[in-house]
Amino acid sequence: MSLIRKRIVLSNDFYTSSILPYAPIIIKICRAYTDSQEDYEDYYQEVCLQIWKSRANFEGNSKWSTWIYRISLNVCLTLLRNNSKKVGFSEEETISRESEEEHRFSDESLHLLYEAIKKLSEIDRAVILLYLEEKSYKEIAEITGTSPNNTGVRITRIKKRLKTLLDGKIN
Amino acid sequence: MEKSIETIWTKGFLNEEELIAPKINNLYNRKSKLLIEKLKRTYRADNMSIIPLSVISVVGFGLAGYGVLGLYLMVLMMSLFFLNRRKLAKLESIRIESSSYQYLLEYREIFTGFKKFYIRLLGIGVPVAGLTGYYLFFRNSPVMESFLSIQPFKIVLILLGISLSLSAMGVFVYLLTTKLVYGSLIKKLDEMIAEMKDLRS
Repeated sequence: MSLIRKRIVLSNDFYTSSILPYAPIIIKICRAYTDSQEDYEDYYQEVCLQIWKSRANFEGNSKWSTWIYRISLNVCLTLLRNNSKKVGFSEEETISRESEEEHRFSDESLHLLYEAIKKLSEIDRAVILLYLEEKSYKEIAEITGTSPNNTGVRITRIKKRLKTLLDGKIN
Repeated sequence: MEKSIETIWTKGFLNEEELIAPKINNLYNRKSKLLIEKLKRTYRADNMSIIPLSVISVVGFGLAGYGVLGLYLMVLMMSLFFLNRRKLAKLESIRIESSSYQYLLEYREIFTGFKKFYIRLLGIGVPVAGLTGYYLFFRNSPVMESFLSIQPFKIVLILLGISLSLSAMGVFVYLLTTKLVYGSLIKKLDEMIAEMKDLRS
């Protein structure tokens, strides 16, 4: 895609102080919901934009990082659903092989793990990402809107599924 | 030894390169394109709907014995169709050159221009076309004879009244249909421009 790469000022101070330190969280989530570098960059930018737009709604009842997790997941799920409705919209949206290659992690095990995570349902992906980020069951439940008990059971089931996928080197 | 998913996760992300944030680039590029594409598609469909209407007019009036009036309406509608097509070509010619913000602003400006143009066109054109249509409809009827028999200044007053009513009705119908068909898209366009302006400030 021949984008005109023009840097946009996303209220630079806010981006540097409130988003950039949490970029790893956003990156990890966006990568779990995208298959190409282009989509990944679009998702990342959209998440940043939504964080910026909804900054006034943050009341401090939860941690800023939890807020970021929540927005990132919501945005990724929304974009995923919207994009699935727009399949074949234009040539520019066709995922190129080059872009897929660029999207790979250099660590092969991590790449395989992500491929396995992408085989999970949208909500299971969110749950396992939060689990891997060492969030408590309570926090995971709070972010994903499930109960803590259910979260524990779900994580056990997801881990089994991931193991099966990784043992069979995905598919 | 086989690594657990937790170990793969932790060790995989020890490599800092995996976590380099992409640059924030031309944030609204795709969003802008999608919105404008939708606007153009709606405009195209809106314009295409004129064709069946003109066919219905010519057939309907033809069957009712008003062939000339039917043809007259068809010519009017098809003229509007071709005029709209020329306007659409103008929309198609715009490309993102400097930034999405400028691109959207340019579209907004064109739509505002279209609106002004059609308000003028319908405000003047509908009375002119309408009076001609009335003439074609009543020309050989007793209604026309009795109309022409009244005092000239009253004729002028009646024609003026009809013209003003038709003009107001034409503009009102245009504004209403534009709001119904394009309202949500234009609102989205305005919101996007406002957000981008906010981001740039």
